Amino acid sequence: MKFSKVNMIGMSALFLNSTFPTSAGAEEAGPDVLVNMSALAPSLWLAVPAVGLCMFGSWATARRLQNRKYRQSTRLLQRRFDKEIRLLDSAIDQHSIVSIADRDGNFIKVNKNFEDAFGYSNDDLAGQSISVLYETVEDGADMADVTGNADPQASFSEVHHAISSGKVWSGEQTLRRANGELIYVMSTVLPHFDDDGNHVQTVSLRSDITQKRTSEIQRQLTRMLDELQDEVFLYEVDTLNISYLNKSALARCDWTVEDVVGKTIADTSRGFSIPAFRQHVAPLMDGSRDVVSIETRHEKGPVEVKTRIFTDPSGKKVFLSVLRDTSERKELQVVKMDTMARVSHELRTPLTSIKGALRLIQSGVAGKLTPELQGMIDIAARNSDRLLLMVDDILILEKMNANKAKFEMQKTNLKAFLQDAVSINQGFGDELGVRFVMDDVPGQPIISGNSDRLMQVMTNLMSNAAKYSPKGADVRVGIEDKDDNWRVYVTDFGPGVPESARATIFDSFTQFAAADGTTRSGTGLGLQICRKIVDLHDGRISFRSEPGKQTTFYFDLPKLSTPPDLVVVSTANQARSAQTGRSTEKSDLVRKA
Amino acid sequence: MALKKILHVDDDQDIRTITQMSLEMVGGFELQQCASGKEALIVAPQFQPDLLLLDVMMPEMSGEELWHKLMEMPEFAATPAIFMTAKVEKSFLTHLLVDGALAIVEKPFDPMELSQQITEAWTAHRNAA
Repeated sequence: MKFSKVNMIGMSALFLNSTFPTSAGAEEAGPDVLVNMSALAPSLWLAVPAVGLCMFGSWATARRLQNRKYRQSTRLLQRRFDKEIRLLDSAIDQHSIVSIADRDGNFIKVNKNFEDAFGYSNDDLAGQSISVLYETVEDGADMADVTGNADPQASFSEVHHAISSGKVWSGEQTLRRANGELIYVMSTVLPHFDDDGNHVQTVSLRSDITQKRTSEIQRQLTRMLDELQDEVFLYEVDTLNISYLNKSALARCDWTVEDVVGKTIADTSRGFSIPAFRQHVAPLMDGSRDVVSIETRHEKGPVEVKTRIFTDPSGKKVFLSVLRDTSERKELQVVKMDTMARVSHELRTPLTSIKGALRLIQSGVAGKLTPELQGMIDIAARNSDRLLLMVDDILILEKMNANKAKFEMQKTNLKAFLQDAVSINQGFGDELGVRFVMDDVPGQPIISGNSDRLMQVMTNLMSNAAKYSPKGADVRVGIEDKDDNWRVYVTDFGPGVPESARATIFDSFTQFAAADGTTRSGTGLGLQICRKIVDLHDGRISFRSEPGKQTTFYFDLPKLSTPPDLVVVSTANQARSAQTGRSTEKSDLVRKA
Repeated sequence: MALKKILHVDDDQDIRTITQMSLEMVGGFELQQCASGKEALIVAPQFQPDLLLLDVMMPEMSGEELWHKLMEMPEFAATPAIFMTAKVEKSFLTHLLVDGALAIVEKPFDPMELSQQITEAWTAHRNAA
């Protein structure tokens, strides 16, 4: 009995020893235990011949002595073992994150390190399944993709399966803390069996390697990102403090790695406006968009910035902005536009003759027309108007792109503006059997804008909405209060815009098939002109669409907070110009001042 | 003085026809047309126009060059000019107007409105003078 107990303690010490080669306490304890065991065994066997050799009288004494000695040495041994085990326990307890679970994987007890590392207390966990640590760690899976480590985490069932079949499981795991953050651990999970070979409990020993893992991941990411031509900015969601810039981003800011310390993203550009930025990323914050994108100007030229929210390896939320220099693309666009503008100019001369001739015929100055001829002339006139509209669109766009267009900004009441828009466009709506309905307008929506230009935007959006509406449907227009902005919207109940069109819908010559698969007539320039005009008002144009239900195009314009009657002249072009775009182009005559 | 005689110069035959119909039939002006600056320099002294209506972009001699050449002649030094052009460049416009052009008519123009536009520019000019 005693022997078997000693043996068991020795075995368990050995066992623990083999499991923790790095534990200093265990290494010392192991060999010591072995020596004591071998010392005990011979003394037992020697006791047998001693009985035969001794005198009868002294036999009992000898036996008592022997027994006492034996008991003494056993007690000594026992104490020593207890001490060793306690030392070992305490070493493990100090060093590792320890948890003990029953055979079904429910917690029995965890140590202090465990409580600290996972943020659970013993009471929280008692009776709970150990699987709570494993719950959906999909972020960890992402991390594996980034770092190229194959499967850094074993599933709960995999570990459970190993230990149930009597094996020790050892490996890296990505687990979740009580607060949801990830923790990377090196784990050894040992099944414990009773004398009859039944699995009674499971002891898990873990070390937190989060620090090591995250710095490793960060090193790898950094190396990778530094090679990118695109500029990468990582900064905290709450404070906007920069946590990382890659090489090209540093070059843009003329910073060294050391310069970044203590900087926020607002320091990367002189014109950076934090409120504007917060507004820009609002769709990321409320989860309505995964990525937001903006084309803007940096001191060093035109750029396109795509921003998303990203959980960094330590579980902290950061903005990840990828910035691309668009100078080259812009130059190409300018060349393209320039070519188009030249062609358009050339087209205007023959168009002048065609339109002029048709106009004269229509007026009857060249003689009376039969109704049949009148009808055909009307078709020709309508289509030459359309052609001219296209040519004009190209020219307007070219002018706006080259910043040649000048906007006279004036205090504008959007409510009256919208009423005008409805009455101006109703004729077009009637042709298509569509009714424009204006929703109630909240408050006094006042902005600073050029109403001719904005009317161009409205006409475009409303005619698009009408074109895409089923016959007899309503198109709703209205204004919403959006914090610092007034939002003007046009909603139709047509087939909708496929999400795939989002990236290019506001580009030149983009015509896409609606969600019903058909395209409508148009110049393919309308929405780009709209965006350009809204941009020049410091606004933003976008849309949301539920295919088959409804589609809303909207633009947000900053609320005017300046005193009434103040006329603001846009900075779009300071130079005095007789050319102010289509509104004056139509008036044909430009008078000398 | 009411506007009567207009010298119109444009290299495009069709536009000349449209303009002629517009100014003669709608406006009732007396019109002389030329296809080039060279021709205009010969025709102008005989015709003695009250107003020049010049296309800007013409081969060989531009409308602007023609205007300057005519202004060098004492009899046309004060003859007002209106330009017609499809090329609507800001710098282009401003310097013509700064140099004394009455107005710039953009092509395509509405032939039913052209006469009135010209009359308005003429009247404004007379009133200012």
